[in-house]
Amino acid sequence: MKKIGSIVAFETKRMLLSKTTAIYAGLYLINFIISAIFFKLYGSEYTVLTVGNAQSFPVWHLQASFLYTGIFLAIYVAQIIVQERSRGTIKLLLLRPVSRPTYYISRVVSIFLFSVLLTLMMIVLSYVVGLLFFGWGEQMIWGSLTSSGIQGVLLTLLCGLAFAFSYFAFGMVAMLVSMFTSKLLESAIIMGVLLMAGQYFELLSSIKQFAVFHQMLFFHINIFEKPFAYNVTSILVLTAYCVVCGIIGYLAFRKKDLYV
Amino acid sequence: MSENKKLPVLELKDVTKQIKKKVIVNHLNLSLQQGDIYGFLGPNGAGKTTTLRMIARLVFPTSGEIFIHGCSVSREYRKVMSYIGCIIENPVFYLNMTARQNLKLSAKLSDKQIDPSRIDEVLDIVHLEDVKDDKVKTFSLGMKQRLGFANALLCHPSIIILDEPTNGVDPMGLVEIKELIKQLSEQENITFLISSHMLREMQDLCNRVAIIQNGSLIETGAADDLLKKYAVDNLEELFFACVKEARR
Repeated sequence: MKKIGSIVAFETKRMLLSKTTAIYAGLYLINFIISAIFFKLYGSEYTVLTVGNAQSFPVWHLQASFLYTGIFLAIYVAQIIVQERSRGTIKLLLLRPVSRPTYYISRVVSIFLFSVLLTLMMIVLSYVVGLLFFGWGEQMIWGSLTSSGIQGVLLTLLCGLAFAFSYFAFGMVAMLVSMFTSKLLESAIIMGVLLMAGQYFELLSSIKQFAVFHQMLFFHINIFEKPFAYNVTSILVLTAYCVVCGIIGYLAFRKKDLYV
Repeated sequence: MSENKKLPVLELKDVTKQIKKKVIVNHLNLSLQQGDIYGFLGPNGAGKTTTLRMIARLVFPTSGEIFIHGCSVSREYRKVMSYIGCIIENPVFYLNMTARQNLKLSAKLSDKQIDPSRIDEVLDIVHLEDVKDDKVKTFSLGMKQRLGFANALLCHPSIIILDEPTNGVDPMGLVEIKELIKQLSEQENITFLISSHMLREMQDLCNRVAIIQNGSLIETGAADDLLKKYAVDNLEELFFACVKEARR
């Protein structure tokens, strides 16, 4: 456990200080600013926003960032799995008394933390942009939900947690793909194509709930809008993605020859 | 107790690595005693690095067993890895981190309690004390080799595995590394397994050698004994004599 903690702490620090994370933050910021400007100019017709205030700003933008948040996550997973192998830095860890299960679990935890970090980053940045353009506002209005003050913030965070969970499940799919690819770009392209193609599951209404892509788009909304039984099924679907991809990925990694 | 003393530091028993139909390492048997400086010699593609990777559990043998201090590498991986320090293929570090930060991470992952002063100590040993706070991306290949050596030494190993440790090292650095290996072997009784195809460089360093070709061991023993046996003057001649003998 101590070693998992050390590796995760190291990885988290590296992630927070990396240029890539700063670039992602910049891209989110630009996207939110464009959205705010369009809302100011044209109202809700040309943006995802229906209400112009900081309280409502983050929740409306989570779903809108589906494609590039998915790609950021896929790149991160490829960096910590594929790039570690291709650059050989995996040796620095595995040539110490770090077992493969320890290494693998530390990677899973890192992916979860990155999903949470990306979500938090989006929420904080969108609050900032919302405040700068519209001020805090009186109410958080999101779909059929209305809230305000600290309750609205907590609701936004809960929504963010649901969003992060669905992206973590997608991250586990990316991790499984990374076990079988040898280049960062290869892994990122496969996941990017899956993301784009995955949106078409929306056309298959009977099975769409079982697609991770549907959950990435709607899980954080559905937990407030759909019946309890529907959400339990969604949670089980996402958990199944995490567990199945996690186990298959581990079985592939456990006996993988590392020519590094 | 006396049983333990006789136990080889490193032992490979009938180790084979096969990928599809290609045999990379063929029924290899090796035994290293405490304090040996063991030259693992062979041409490029002979199977040296694959063997070292199997010792470090980066690659899994198709058959056979590897023991370090009597512990099976496959069953007691963590214990085994606390005995050894390695440079396999080439020394790799996080390039955006300093030499010190890389070693700090490495020390954290050890099962032993490593005093922070040990990091400075090993950096001093390899003469990187002046650049310890420089990012590794600014290092030359020779400096990375020395940092790799410091990393291998860091956790007080009883056996150090070095794969082509002289790659990219300048002549002065080469002399220093050789001296260091001898010194550590004599003073701290550390066992070295050094793979190389640079036979001249290994000449005055190794007391025992194993010669491998096409994955098979063709000769092993005390360097002096083998030189006498084949009536040759140096490792290079010994190598060619062994290869010739093996072809017959």
